[in-house]
Amino acid sequence: MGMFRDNPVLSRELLVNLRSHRAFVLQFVYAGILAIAVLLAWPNVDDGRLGASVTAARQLFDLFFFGQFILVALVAPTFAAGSITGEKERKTYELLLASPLHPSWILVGKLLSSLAYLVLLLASSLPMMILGYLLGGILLSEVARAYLVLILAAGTFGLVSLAASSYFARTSSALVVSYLIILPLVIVSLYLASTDDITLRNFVSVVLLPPWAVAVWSIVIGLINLRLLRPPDVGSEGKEVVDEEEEQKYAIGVVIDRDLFPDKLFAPAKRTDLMPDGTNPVLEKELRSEIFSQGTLMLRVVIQVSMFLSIPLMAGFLFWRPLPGWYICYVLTFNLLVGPVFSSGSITQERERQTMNLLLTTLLTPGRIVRAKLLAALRVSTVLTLLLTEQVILAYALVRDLQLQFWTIIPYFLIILATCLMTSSVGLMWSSLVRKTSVAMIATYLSLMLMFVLPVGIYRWSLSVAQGVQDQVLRWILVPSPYAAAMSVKIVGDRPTSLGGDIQPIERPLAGIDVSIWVVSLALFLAISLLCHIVTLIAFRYRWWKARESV
Amino acid sequence: MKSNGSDATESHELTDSAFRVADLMLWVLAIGLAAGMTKRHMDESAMAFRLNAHPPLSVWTRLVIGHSLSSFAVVFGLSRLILALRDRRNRVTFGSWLWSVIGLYVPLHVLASVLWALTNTVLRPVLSGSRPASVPITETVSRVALMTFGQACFDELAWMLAAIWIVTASLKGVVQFAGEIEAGDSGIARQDVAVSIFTGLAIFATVFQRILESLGY
Repeated sequence: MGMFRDNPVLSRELLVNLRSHRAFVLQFVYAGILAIAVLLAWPNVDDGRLGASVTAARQLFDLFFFGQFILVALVAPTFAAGSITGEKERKTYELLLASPLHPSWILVGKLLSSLAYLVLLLASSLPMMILGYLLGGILLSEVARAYLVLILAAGTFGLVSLAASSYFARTSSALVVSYLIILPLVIVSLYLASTDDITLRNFVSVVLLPPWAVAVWSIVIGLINLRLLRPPDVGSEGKEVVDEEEEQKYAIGVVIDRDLFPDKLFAPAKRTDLMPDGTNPVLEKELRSEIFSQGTLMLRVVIQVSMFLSIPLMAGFLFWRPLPGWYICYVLTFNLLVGPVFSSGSITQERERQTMNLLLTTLLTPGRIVRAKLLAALRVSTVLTLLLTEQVILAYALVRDLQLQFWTIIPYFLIILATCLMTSSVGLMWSSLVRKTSVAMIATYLSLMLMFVLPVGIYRWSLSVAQGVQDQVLRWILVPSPYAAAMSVKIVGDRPTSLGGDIQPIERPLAGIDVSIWVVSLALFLAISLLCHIVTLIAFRYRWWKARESV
Repeated sequence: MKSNGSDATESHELTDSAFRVADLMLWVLAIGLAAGMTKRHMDESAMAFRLNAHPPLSVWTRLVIGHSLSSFAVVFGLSRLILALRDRRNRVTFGSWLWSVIGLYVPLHVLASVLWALTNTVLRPVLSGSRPASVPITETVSRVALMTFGQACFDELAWMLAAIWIVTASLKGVVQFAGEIEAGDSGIARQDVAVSIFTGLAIFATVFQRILESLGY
């Protein structure tokens, strides 16, 4: 018990995290949003018989469960992935390891402190969830099972993120790898949870999930303990740049060979000769030395996980049923996770390493520096994202339904490219606006999540709430979401009947302008990218002016 | 300031447990090709009928195994052949040679099957219209030759030999098997292991499929 009661790491983290105003405000806002959701979804029963609203209760329960599950998947890594890398970045990691604390104490302290706030948020939702119970149609045991799954998910996701945090030097790398490992778990869990077979749901949540979660926890805890007991990255002061040849010698799985295709597209080899005339030195530095100066471990994990995950999705959404929109959503999710990693740290890292003023005193104009940063990040994230489109091209070549409408591949690729530009631009904008890389990254993820997911949620919500408003008017809500843009490309073919026959409502034109959602979305994505670029340029120029004044 | 702009680092030998991004993409391509071909074949009316009318397991296994093996052979074989032809000045390893043979064999086999089907369609009325007792000797020979040609074993062996001949001829002067495998050259060992695994898989899969078929599944 001393590990929990007298743990100095836990005490320190809880004090720092829970006594801030931000924690209180966030909890208040969260509970407030849930309360508003319940209020809006509450059935209008005139005779006061709440038991008549079984369907509404079920919808509310599902909304709470799925919403909180996604929240856990999104938030757990943001808390846990930075807990050890943060120590490394603040140069206090070695001090922590040199203390008399056992690695398991550090592990427990970091894990519980990362998840304590999340569990607090989940607990705040319990009263609202119980309101659904009052409507009838839901058993208390179902509520208990839902919270069991949420707690297990929080623990698993937190531990995975903590493991990533112990293996990587930067929070950004740990965060993106955590998200990518969690992504398949979330897809499988949501699929199982959305099934109508109640026996299967109960079996999975009560019988299957707990032992599997405990087994995964044991393995991950063992790995983290081992890493903390024998840390290979201690004593690396002044030697932070990883020797790639050395790294490649011991690599397992995919390796990056910077001289070969396609590796040289996203990680060109380090230059050992002079730059040609007219080359942008910042772009060369970023691409060839900066982005992968911490080694290619993150990149290797990202490529492997995304490619392996693409195989079942390709089989299901491209070959089994011609539903390329769903596969494109996966590609977009990959870009959403990976894009910000390369852009949101590109200016803040200059500041953290105190090389910003040095950069500003060079003869390079701010516009050239910003452009180079954007191009470097855009190139890496776009090439990595396009690695996943090989499957789409193959499907269009082989599947007859898709062959007959081959032109639909063009909007899909345009949506992917525009999304790549948008994610990189948003990341770079936040990088120019804030001081820390971790803050820039979380701000980027939050703003992109809002853009990707929120319109879909609001649209679905408004379908049930806004009675009397035409669907083609409501579809305007979907325009900012790349997911909606991908799903709005009209594909006619062998649709499953559960998806409502041949043409989906989302594929129909918008009210007023009679064009599909994806056309307007493309224009909007380009406009957002341009706006972000202008904001970045102004912010960067402002610092340039300030630096010039100080000189 | 002028520069040749060349990249200085060279590609490295990999350890046994490592592979490159291009290999991963080829694997995904092969899996995708297998899935796509299987789906396409499934949707054809004749195969749809067979899947409904026959014991499905053996038809399914034949379908999946056949397309998987063909796809992997084509993707990896042709990529290896391209690499071998591109690096003519370098050594051509036994693994590259054998993979190239396999890669070329499958398209040739498919081509032969198509040709055989066309020939059969043209000649069938002639052959079925003639009475065996009064068949001239030349026609009997051609008929036997055609029937033999149609037998799977001879067919496959013949085209395998053709593929070996074409690959060996196209790489003439470059293939020097003697002394090419040096001690500790893990790249060659990896290729040979891959070829052995593929060959073993093909044999095992065929035997497995035949057992299923003979058991009536």
